[in-house]
This record gives sequence, structure tokens and C-alpha cells, in this order.
Amino acid sequence: MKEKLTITLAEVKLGDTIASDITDNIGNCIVSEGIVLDDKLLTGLLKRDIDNLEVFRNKQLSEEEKQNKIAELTSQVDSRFHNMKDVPIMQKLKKIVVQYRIQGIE
Amino acid sequence: MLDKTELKKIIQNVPLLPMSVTTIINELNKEKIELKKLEKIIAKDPFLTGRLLASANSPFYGFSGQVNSLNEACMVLGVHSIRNIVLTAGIVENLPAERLCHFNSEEFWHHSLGTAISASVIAKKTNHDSEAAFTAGLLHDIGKLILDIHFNEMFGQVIEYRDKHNCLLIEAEQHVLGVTHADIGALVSLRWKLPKIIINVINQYHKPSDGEEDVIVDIVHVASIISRCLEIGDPGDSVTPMLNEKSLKRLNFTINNLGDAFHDIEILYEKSLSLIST
Repeated sequence: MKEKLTITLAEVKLGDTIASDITDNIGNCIVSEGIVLDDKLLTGLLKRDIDNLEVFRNKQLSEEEKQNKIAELTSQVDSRFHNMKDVPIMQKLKKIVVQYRIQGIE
Repeated sequence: MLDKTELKKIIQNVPLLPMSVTTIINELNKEKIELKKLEKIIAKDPFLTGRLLASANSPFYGFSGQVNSLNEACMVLGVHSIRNIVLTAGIVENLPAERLCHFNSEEFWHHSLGTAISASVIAKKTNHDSEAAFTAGLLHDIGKLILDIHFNEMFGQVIEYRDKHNCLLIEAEQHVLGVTHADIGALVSLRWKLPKIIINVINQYHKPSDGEEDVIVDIVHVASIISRCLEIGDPGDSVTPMLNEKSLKRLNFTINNLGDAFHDIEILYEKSLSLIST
């Protein structure tokens, strides 16, 4: 689960994903949306005069929120495979999708 | 139902690809490509120049923000990528978002990019042409946009049928129109003289085992289902199509391999969003 945050450069963490283009003071794009922040990029940004930036970051959920999310996504995936109840390969695929997406929540 | 004469008439009204795109593709098809000459031709089209620069600077190619000229962009991208980007840009220009009634252009292209990335990851893992797989994945569903723009009223009936029966878009198309986006996409791609490999994918990716065996068709078939499983963008319906086991076998891939690829695909997808941004 990712949430969009507006933060200062000091609050940025490695692994955050840039949520909207970062531009210099004349409007040139210096980092594009979608880039994952690594050491090299962060060092480069610290050399520039940047106030706030928007990033996507994994959200920490409570146990109850997690269980609700898991139930919600299981039901979503079920509905996407509703026409394939008797097809073994599709049931296997469904299981893998659910497992993968639950990992994302946890 | 659409009759053949009506279908032919509508297809002939779909505009050809922009002249600049055709000229560049012809240049790229020559046996000996002169890069200087190619650059001069590209430079005459500011839109394509911008697309190539943006692509070369995208994290997908690993040179974020470091490519400043068309010359550098051409060096970074190489002939295959230039061909793919120019072709895709020309097609996007011919299928403008503002003319769509039923599809959200942004969501549509997100699904297509998700498929392209998945196709490229599968191709790399199975030692096939990842550039060809990427482009074919990006363009696999263009028939849906053609239907929405050029068969607008009838496509509305398709959407109604899909909603009423909670079925795949292609099933609704077959029922209402008697033809599908795969048929129409392939007909228009022929008119646009797209490479045979892309036409095959557009026409066959739903039912790979019915067509002649083509590994890129198999790859895009699987990739499109992965993009749906990861809920990347909107393919136009919310049901998962049947995964063809023969395609997986031909690729020497298993269901578990698919699960292992999900993470790589999501990471690469996030890095590649700038490839479809306007």
C-alpha cells in the first residue's frame, strides 16, 4: 500500500518513489515522476535548492486495517476470476495473485 | 452487426500515419542507415524530437536527465528503440484522447504500458527479443481505441452488453458487432503498414494457439493477463481472460515463474511511466 506524501528533502527516505516531476527554478525537469530514490539521486538533489517534493511511500497499516485490506483485495481478485471457477490453471493464477498482493499489504 | 461494406468504409476513413512517421520508418528500413540523415528528418518534427528526448531521459533507459540533444538521444536509444518510439508516437497522435468516448486514454495506456513492461520482462527471462515484445505489448490493444473513435455509436452498445453480462470486452464486441477489436486493430495496422510481428500480436494475442505459432504473440498474451492481474490501468473490462497453457509451455514458463516476475514488472513499470506521459 503506497500513500502520496508532500515532504521536505530532509524527510525523504531511500526507496521513496517520486510522485510528480521535480523541476529546477526555471522549470526544467530534473527528476521525472516514477523514479525510485537511491543514494546517488538523493546526493544530487541535496546539492540543489529544493523545498518540497511529492513522493509515494509504503504506508504502515494497523492489524485491523491489514485484515480489512486483505478481505477487500481477496474479494476483488475473486470477482476478476468469477468466470473461471472450474479452471485449475486460472485458480492457481488467482492464488498466486492473491499471495503476491497480500505480501504488498504486509 | 457490422456488414463487410460498412466495415471497409470505416476502416478506409481511419487516417494514415503522419507523413513524418512514414518517412522516418522508411529511412530506418533501409539496409544502410545514415544516422545524420535520420537525425535531420527527425529534427523537422518537434513532437517526435520531444518524444525521443523524453524517452532517452526516462529511467527506463538509465540516463535520467543526462541526454540533452537529439544526437545523444539517438545514440542512447539505438535504431530499434527509435523505430518503436516513432511508430508508437505516430499511432498515439492518430488516436487522440479527446476523441475517445468510452475509454479513459490515460488508463488505457497504463494497461498497455503494463503489458509492454511485462512482455519485455518475460522476453528477457525466456531469451527472446525484448524490444519487439515491448512495442507489441504497447500496441496490442489499439483496436479498442479505433473502435471507440471510429465506431463510436456501436461501441456504446458493446459497452452496454459488457456491463449487462459482466463479460470480456472482446466477447461483447463479437456478440454486438460480429467483429472484435483484434480484427479491426489488425485491419488498420495493415493499412498503416505496421511490422508483421505487431499485426500478428494485435490479431492473435487473445487466442495464441489458434494462430500460427509466434513467440511474441505468446509473450503478449501472457503479458496482457499479468497487467490485468497487477491491476495496471484499464483494459476495458474487469474479468480475467483464460490463460493459454500452450503459450506458457512454448515459452518454457510456469505459473510460478509468473508470480516471480510480478515484482520486477511493478518496479520497471514505475520507472517507465514517463514513456507514456504527454
